Amino acid sequence: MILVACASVVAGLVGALTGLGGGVILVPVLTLVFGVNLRYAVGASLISVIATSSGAASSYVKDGFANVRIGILMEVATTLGAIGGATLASRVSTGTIAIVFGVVLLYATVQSARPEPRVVPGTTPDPIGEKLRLNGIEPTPQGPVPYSAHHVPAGLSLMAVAGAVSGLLGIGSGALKVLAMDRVMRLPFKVSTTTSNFMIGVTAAASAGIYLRNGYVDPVLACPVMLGVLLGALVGARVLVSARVKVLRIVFAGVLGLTAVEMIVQGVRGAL
Amino acid sequence: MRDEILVSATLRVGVALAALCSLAGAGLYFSGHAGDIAAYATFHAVRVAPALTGFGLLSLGVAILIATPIVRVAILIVVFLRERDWLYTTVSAFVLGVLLLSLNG
Repeated sequence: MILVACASVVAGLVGALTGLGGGVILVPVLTLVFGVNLRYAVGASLISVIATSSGAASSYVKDGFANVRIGILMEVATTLGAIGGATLASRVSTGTIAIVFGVVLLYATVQSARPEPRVVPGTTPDPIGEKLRLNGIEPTPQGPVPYSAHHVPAGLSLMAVAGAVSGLLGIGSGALKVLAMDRVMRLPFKVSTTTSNFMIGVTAAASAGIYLRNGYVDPVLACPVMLGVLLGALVGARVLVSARVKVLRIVFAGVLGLTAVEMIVQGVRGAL
Repeated sequence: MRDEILVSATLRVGVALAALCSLAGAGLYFSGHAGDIAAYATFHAVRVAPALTGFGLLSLGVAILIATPIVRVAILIVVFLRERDWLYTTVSAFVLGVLLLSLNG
């Protein structure tokens, strides 16, 4: 169990450094390395996702980047999606979940390794966004810059998918949430990432309720894992500020890519 | 701005409480189960019940953690109510309803 906690520290650390989040690394580590049943692994991962999201979000909100209005509106879609995903998780085999997990991990790895192309802000904001007052002011070094939301219905739809993925796989699916806000709704990148972090905890709580009721959350496993990931994420956030992580990122991307393939293989063989 | 600090304080206190509970629970539980070999390879449903035992404290840690984002949404309702922002009061209340439904449904 001490080994599991130590591995969780590493998962939290790597999650913070790569920006992928702890869950995406934790689930393969628990299942592939420690032979934990996928259902317990996903349950424990969801719990740690709530911890890291809530822990990290508290500092982001104070900085004034996160947009609470956008966050809560998008949570309507993510929580409903999460309930769908968590319900689906109890109906399908662990092999199927492992395959989906591998595919999502592969996609996330490729995304994280690629440099972020800067989106040119559009000129005509969505009238729905205007009506819902989804605009805000981003504090930048050059002074406050106002922004507004585009393509709100498309953003909401993608958020529902993000919620379902989170509920099915026990991950934060922060990358999908950022995609919805940054690319689809064309919000500033920093606003997207911080608001996404703010939302992950609420999304995960929606599916955690269902996992808890289905008996997928074993506190004896989940708590040491949660403590480990939390510690790793805290250290990771510190290191991130100082260290040059570019090389690390590429190394991790390679490892994660292989892990993803292994998840798919094990899923197909029905070994998980 | 004061409200945002309240929200972030809630999150921080919730996570800290859950972590403390888990630490205490883990200490208590593993001192009694030091030689156990954990059997997580096969799945069987686990019933979670808070009580003053190692397992109970670990369960409480999980419960507090899941409750933290839910309390956060509840506080948001109060914040929007005070701002007389009826639209977002409704949106927050809906999200809270979905969360409570997932726990009890």
